[in-house]
Amino acid sequence: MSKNTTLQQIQSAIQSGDLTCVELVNTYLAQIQKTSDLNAYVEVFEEEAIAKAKALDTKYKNDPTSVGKLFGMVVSIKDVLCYKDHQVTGASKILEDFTSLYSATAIERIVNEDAIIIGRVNCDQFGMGSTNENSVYGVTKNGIDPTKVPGGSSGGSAVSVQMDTCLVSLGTDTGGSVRQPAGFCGVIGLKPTYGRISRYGLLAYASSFDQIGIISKSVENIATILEVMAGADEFDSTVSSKLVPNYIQELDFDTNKKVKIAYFDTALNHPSIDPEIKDQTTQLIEKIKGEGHTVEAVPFEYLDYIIPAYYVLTTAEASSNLSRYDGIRYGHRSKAATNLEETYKMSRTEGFSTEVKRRIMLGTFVLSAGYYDAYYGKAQKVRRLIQDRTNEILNDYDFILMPVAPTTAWDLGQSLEDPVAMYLADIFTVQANMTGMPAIALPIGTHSSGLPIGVQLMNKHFGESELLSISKYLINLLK
Amino acid sequence: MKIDKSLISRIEHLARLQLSDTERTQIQGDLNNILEMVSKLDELNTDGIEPLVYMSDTVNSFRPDEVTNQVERSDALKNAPDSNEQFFKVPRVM
Amino acid sequence: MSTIYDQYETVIGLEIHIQLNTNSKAFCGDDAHFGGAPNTHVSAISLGHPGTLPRLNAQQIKSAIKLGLALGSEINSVNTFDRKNYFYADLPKGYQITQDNQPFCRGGSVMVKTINGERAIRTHHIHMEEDAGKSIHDLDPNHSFIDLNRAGVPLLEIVTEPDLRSGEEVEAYMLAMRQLVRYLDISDGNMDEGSMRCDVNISVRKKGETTFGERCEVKNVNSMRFAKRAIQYEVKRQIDLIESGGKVRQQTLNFDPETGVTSPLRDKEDAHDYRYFPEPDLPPVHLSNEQIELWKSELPALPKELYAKFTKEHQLSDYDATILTEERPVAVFYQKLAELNGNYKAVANLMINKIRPYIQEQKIHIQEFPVPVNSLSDFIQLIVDGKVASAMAYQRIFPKLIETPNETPLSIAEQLHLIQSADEDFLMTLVKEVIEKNPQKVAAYQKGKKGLIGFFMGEIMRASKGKADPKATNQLLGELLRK
Repeated sequence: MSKNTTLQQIQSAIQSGDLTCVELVNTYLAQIQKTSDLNAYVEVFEEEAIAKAKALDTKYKNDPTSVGKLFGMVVSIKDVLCYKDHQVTGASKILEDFTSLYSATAIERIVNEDAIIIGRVNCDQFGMGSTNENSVYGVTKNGIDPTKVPGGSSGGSAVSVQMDTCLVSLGTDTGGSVRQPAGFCGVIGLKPTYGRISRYGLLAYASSFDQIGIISKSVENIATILEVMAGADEFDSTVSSKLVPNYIQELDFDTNKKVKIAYFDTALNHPSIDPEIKDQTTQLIEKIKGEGHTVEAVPFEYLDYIIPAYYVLTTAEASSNLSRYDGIRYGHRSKAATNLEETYKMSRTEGFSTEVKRRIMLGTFVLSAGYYDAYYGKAQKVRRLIQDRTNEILNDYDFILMPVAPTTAWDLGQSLEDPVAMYLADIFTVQANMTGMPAIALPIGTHSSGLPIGVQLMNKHFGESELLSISKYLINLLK
Repeated sequence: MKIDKSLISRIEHLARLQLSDTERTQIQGDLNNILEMVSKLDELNTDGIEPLVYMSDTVNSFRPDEVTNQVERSDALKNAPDSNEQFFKVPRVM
Repeated sequence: MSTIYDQYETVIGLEIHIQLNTNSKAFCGDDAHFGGAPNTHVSAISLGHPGTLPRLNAQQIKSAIKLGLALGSEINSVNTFDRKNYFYADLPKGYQITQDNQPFCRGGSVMVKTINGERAIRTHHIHMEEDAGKSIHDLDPNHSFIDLNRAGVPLLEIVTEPDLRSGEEVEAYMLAMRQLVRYLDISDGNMDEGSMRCDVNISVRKKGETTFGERCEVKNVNSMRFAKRAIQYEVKRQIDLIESGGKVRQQTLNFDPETGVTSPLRDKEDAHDYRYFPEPDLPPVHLSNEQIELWKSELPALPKELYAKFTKEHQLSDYDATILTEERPVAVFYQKLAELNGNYKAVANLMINKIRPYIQEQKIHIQEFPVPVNSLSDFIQLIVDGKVASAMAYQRIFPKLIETPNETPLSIAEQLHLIQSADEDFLMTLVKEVIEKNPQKVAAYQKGKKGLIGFFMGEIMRASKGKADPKATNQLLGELLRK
């Protein structure tokens, strides 16, 4: 299968009779088998996917105009997205054997447009982690080098796309969890504006940061599925009712138009950044300038405050969002519990990984009496400063360009020794979640180690059209 | 700010966790390191700055007062670790 | 004889929870009505399933504002929600969505009749929140059973200032609040079914002191009788404690109706750290002045207003006006009838003595009362015009009217031969008869025993089977006796 297969290409092949949905699904299933060592998939919906493919082929044969917009699209979903009558576990023990009673709005929308969901992919537990090593199902390995992590928390999503086991994967992004693994795996990952896609059915980690994100190898695929998922939802009070643009139609970049891009010196020259990443990013900047666009360094004094503020705010929200996992109405209940208090304490202690427990503890602390103002209150004010400054920059510039991560993919096991170091590595991706702005990770080259290097673009709220079109443009530029 | 043994125990209880001694010591250390990292925020002057609380512009998001979207009791109970035909069961509160 | 207890003053503040009578729950579309087989009014949202989110019920806001307006509170134009985090088996999300920071209403008051006259009991604030489910502990020796039907039902919490001074005042306040929520049709205020619940904060201080003593909170008092008993016990307990040299500790207490005793609730040390923070899943509610004015204009006339109208404009007694304004449907019915027939006292009598007892007996709503209002107006008019003796009307015509509401009161009166006659000949015959039969009494009357006119009237009325028009009879009798 061609590396850059787009949905349009697949639909054309089906139209011309060169491909059927069943053949397509079988090819993906075989690929899943072949790459199973990477442990990207938690559950493969083999029979279901084939059955759906058969039904769609029949539907198409009877009336080619009757099929939905996502006909021919095969999707994997991160194990934090609810799909009715399917298990969802957040890669945890506390939700073992839990079957969802409903589908996430985003999932319903893509299923209604005839997408085929081929399986549930691995991730860091409840979205907490940057390496996909925090899962009850074991680590997921980076397909380019299986001694390396794929990134996280949507590591399984990134690998499932990287290894061509599906066309698109839906992940979630709270601090970079779609963009960073996309960067580590050499694929494209978009985090939309906060409120662009409904969060109903997304296992909440940090309510004011979470968004469903999209991973694929082509910007067109992302544009297509984004259009289907985005928009108002009766089940989510925070979703935007702003009209959803026709992203596919707006995808072509007007090369006569010159854009202004900002980047941060403090980012490019950050002490933690790998020199090759800095080099390749700088080269990209020069290339863009060569096309007549403006790319300028801009001061951003808040870079080193983003991570501290992020970890206070997200762990606080998470500590509350994870309270519902208590062994009472669903999920794991400790066999050793003899009264209600023990039911809570033992079930939760047994059911959550250390990383999750660590974040719950931190979040509980920063919200507790006497500490709220100093930590949570303070972090909320810092968030305002960061958003205001970022908005200011985006009033003068069309985009902000940044590396995806300071390094390429780490060795398996490397990050677990120092949680703080791992947290600090989110430095470039977290800004988009702190401000709610859309951001995308694009592959721009390869490190001497063979590992992918990515770049990140961010722009103003609800600027996905512009973001996708410049992404398509840059990818072509780099070919 | 240093988190001591008694504060850790209190947080543990509030979070309904029951850490082993090793885990507790580990997490206590981690939290103190994280708080050290977080203390960087004190460098910023935030006097007079409004906290950023809501990330979307949406206000007045209501739904009409209608009964809708309920589930069957059997579905409600089907994931329960312990239940009978009507209720969720938990070990006696006391 | 004054006791040590008389040296103290009781200070009480209330936290009243009102369960709203909306169709659906506060944050999801589950059925919010009371009753229902266990765990049938639930959804993934109220079950606290992974990935679920709240959506605010528009009716809950309206009900909150109506109550705030009725109490004369200030309505907040920007309203937000907060999470109150704690663990309990009937709290599915592990937090309650409530309002800690910016509640819907602040201030306002309720007028309460006390032994010292009327007093305003000030409201501190009113906020919105959601109810928890129910835990049942006595169906199984080893287990508690959880029913989540009630989880998420919308509540309003009214917090008063510590303005109350006795159990009687508390009862009066609660009665007034119950009446108000029923008038506003936002709740049935039924304490038996839990649609109105009360936490009572009690402290004592020596009379004349201005600082407050340490208070204790008696939680979940579910009847006004229990509230009074709990207060009685707790006040004595606190005074005894202070008098014996001890100090009252701030505690949360439970009242046991069987023993009449308050006792500390277990495990409350950590109850204070609810780690409130703004609810990120619910955006703010902005209320415009126009919206608030519109809702204000839609408020029904409230008990106080109606009482004033009935006493000042209709000249009804305090007793009559109080009964007629007790429940809004009755007040509305009275008003409708009073509009048709301006004999207010007669209308009030009919309502209080006949109609209200009837509907109470039959256990029906006043809207279901079988006789149409214009018939009732005609009925009253018959009496006022003297066409029928009132006793006859009430005893004979009224019951028939209920049986056959399609018939007019006049036709029923005619059928039963109850129309009083002022016909001269008819009366003349009767009067002459009675006079002829009682010559000694006539003589005695003429000699000065004017009281005997009652005897003659009685005899004539009896002979006429109630049909004699009393006024005309009296006049004729007087004339003939003077001869």
